[in-house]
Amino acid sequence: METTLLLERCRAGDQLAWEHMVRQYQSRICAVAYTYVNNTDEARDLAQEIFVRIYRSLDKCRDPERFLAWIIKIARNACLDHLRRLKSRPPRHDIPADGMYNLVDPGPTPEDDWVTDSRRRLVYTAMRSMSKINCEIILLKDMQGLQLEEIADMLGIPVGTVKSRSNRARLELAHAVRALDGPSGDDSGERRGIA
Amino acid sequence: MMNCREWERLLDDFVDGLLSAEDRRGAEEHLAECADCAELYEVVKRNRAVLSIRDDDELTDRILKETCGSPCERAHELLLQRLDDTELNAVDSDLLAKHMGHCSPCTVLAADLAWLGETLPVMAEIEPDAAFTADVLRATAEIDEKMREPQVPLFDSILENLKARWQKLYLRPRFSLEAAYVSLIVLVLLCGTPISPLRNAPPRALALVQGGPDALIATLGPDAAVVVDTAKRRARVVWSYSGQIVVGSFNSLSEDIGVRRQRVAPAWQDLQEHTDDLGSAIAELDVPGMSISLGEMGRDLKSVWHEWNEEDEIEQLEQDKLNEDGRTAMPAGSRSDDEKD
Repeated sequence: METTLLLERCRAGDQLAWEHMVRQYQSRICAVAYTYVNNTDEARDLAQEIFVRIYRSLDKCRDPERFLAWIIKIARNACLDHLRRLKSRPPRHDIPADGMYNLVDPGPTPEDDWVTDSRRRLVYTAMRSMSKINCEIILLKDMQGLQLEEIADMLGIPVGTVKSRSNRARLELAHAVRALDGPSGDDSGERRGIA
Repeated sequence: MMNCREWERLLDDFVDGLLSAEDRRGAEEHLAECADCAELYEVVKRNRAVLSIRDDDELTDRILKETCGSPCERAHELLLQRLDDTELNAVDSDLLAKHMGHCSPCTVLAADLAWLGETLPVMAEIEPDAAFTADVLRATAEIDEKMREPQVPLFDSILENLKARWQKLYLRPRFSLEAAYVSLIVLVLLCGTPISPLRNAPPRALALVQGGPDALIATLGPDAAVVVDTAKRRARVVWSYSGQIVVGSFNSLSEDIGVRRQRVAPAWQDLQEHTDDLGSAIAELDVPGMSISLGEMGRDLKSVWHEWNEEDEIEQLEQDKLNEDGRTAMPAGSRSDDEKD
């Protein structure tokens, strides 16, 4: 269904249209949230919060042709707000220094974790070693496929800067992946699970 | 027969052993006959170790470093262009292929970039668990319900907000002190400085108060006399009316007390007699008599109390009865209303 019509129906309070919209964009929103928080449970809650924000702001979407960029902008703002909240909130309990070594991180179980694919996991791990801005550009341009102008508008930097940073970010990511995956040559594809 | 010029052209390949059998035979024949070419051949052969660095990548790198810088940056640029689906022209494509034939880091980078080009778009989406959509719809439905709740008008909500803030403000212990400060400042600004708008008001008000109504009439003119007369008349009316109310109330209260005293008189008489009996019993140390007198006094006090409040109790009983009748009559009335509907 065309986005303009779908948006119009959602604004009119059509619950079926809203359900369709949620199903259509939920995987993208989840991917954006996961890229920022790197945790399945947190990303799930955050994605839900993002949809609530989108629902509240449906009337504010002026250009339905750029709906994807609009919801990703809302998602990005929600993620940054979430990270800011986390940063400003002190830990609930102090952990004694001796006890820290006994903590066991159970990690996500295979059933619960959204990212089970080894190559996705490798990229996410590599992205964690990158600068925040380069990471965001990889997310917005190479993953979500947004236009340079849309990214420039979202990040508040000139289009030329986005382009040059994008090139640098891809090179940085390629080097980071290479560093994590080891000095492999021809067999790199097999090791990363490329079909 | 090969001449010297032709022989020199083939010299490098002759030294490297790359000539065809026919050329090699011709070159060897010329070498056997020409002393100059034989000498040149010896020199070239001796320095072949130096001359053979034609294919040394290290030297190429050193030369490029001294001249135009590393070509890898340009290669990266072209690789990224190719990743963006930009078609490279034939020359760029050929140069890039030749560079990558010699530069293994760029070859590895090209493979990594191609791999990322395939992987990153796939990562645009992560399918959440099955319950996610239902959770989102539930959360947004709650918003709908809140929006459907009757909205308080803006003016009323502002008023409520101000009221709440004001209550919070004046309930603070320091409020009276702050209010006194503010009032004082306002008063000084209005009346107390040489440029205040009401700087003459305090002395004039004092003069009016000290002079009484006559001074007021003299100051404000004939209209003030009318106002003062009217005020005096109304004050007189109010005073006489309130006086009547006070006197009337006092009289009715006196009558009420007189009636109650008459009603209580017999019980009061008995109480006095039993009090005397108790005094006698105490004097004679008659314990049974004392207990009997105390019991009688208790009964007397009870009768006094009932006699004094008799009318009030009757009124209360009548009121209770009326209320009870009203409650039993209500359902019948409401039923009839329902039937009408």
